[in-house]
Amino acid sequence: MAFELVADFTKQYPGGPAVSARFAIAADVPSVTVLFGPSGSGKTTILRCLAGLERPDRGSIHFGDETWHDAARGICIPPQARRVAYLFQEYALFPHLTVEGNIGYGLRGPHRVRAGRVAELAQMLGLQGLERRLPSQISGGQRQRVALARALATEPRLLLLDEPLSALDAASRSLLRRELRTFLSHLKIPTLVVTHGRTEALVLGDRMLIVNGGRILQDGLVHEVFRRPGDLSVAEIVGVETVVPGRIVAASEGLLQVEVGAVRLVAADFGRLEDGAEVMVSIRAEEVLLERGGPSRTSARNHLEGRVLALVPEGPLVRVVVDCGFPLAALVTSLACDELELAPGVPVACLVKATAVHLIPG
Amino acid sequence: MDWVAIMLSVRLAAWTSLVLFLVGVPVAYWLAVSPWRFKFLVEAVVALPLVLPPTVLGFYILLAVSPQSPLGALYLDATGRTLPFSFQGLLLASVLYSFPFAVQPFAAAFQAVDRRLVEASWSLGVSRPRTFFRVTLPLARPGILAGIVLSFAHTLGEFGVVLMVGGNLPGVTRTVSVSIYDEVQALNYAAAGQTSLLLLGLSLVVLAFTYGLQRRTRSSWPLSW
Repeated sequence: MAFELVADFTKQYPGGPAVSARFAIAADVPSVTVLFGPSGSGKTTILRCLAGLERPDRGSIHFGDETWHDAARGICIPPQARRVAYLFQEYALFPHLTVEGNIGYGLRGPHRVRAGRVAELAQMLGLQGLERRLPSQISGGQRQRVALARALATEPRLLLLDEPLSALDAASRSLLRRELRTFLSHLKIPTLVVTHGRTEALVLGDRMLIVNGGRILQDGLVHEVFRRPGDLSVAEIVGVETVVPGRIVAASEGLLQVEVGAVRLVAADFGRLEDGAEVMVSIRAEEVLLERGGPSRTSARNHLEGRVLALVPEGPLVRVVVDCGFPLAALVTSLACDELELAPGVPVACLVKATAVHLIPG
Repeated sequence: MDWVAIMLSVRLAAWTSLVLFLVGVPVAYWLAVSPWRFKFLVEAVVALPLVLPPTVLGFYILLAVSPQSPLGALYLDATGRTLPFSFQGLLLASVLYSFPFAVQPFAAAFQAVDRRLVEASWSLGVSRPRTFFRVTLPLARPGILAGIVLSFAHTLGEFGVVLMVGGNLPGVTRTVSVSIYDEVQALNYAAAGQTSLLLLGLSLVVLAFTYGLQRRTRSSWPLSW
């Protein structure tokens, strides 16, 4: 039998929504699985059930040949016995303990051995010199690393991260995203990450589970799910903003050619990226024009032919998700939407200026 | 100044605070975390001494500890002594009378401890009891301290319950507030004034000390209080 984490359970909140999860991930090879969905969709509940902090009402959780939870047989292994590391959204560092005290909190054994392990982790996460500080005396990014060190100190078999970057400001978030990815790829532990940010999902994850309304809607490789959402409801979730992976294939005269799947985009070059570089392509929905009825002469460098996937009303505006090789979101007024007679399946062209194609080093 | 009465009151207050710490912490913790739907009934009973006239409370305690009652009889069997008009009887009455003054701050402090810190500790493999001593109790410390000081100060000043249960035996049950009352009855205003002033000063110092301590801890512990 493959060594897997197999979850198939339902958590019913009294008088509230039910959250169901059914998936299996390999637990003997390092991998990062992203639980992606809007807030309130039940992502965190799934994570808490896996950690043993929440008790599912039906179903079971197995880890290898261990049974962590089986509602029918009345089995529920407490969190202490699961050897799972849980990274809380705001890190939940113990405010009365120093950095050192936090990292070594879960360790047992003689003082010398514990101190050695703490020093090792502090070095691994670049926390040297901060050992005697309190959590209130270090930065948000440092807190995240202390929380990671504390979680890894006890040599967990599964790593659960709940919105690991949401407690940080935008600047340090983009910086730490790469750092966290590099770090996770060096760990030999299967990891589950909860996030509602697309860039985060793309950078951190190998595999992705789309969660909405307390159910898992799609399960697949991150890039594939973003490029080919399985159905309309998934397209609505992943199409809230456009962030897709791409690769720079040519650079000339201040312009970059970026390949996204089978589509080529033209982006303005601001001299930071090289030929062949992997990038995240981000296009704001407000900057996409929609056109029907033949090509016209415009200054926009990108003409993308596609079909309307979904229409999501947002007050006086409508978010139109167009499948043009990848799902592209356009934000238009409902008046324009009526005038163009937009409906799912209708062919439409998307116009995007080269300067509106934002490239994020991947 | 009636030093015998003052020392007796301090001794009584210290013992009361100690007993309330040992008994009140488990009760308060249970109140803070229990999901039991009829918990409010227990909360009402705990808060009862706040609204009950001390004489009423004292009257019932007196009935409960008399050698004719099961509790009083048990104590008589075990120790060969009776509870009414003794220091031990007075201590029991004080503990009951000051119960909410200790338990309510304790419970509030436990409730204020971030639930996620407790869960983080569990996830790191630390058992529930050890989590209580390593996370919950240290973080609730300002509230625990406040409860101890409040029950101490409250016991120092108690009067009605003391008269009902303890009577007025010098060195045994004659506390400082009873002593002041006696001096006033004897028109000995100077002595009453001296003792009152001492009690006022002592109370102020104790409270200022507690609040000062809390102010300091609050700034470095942003998650508690």
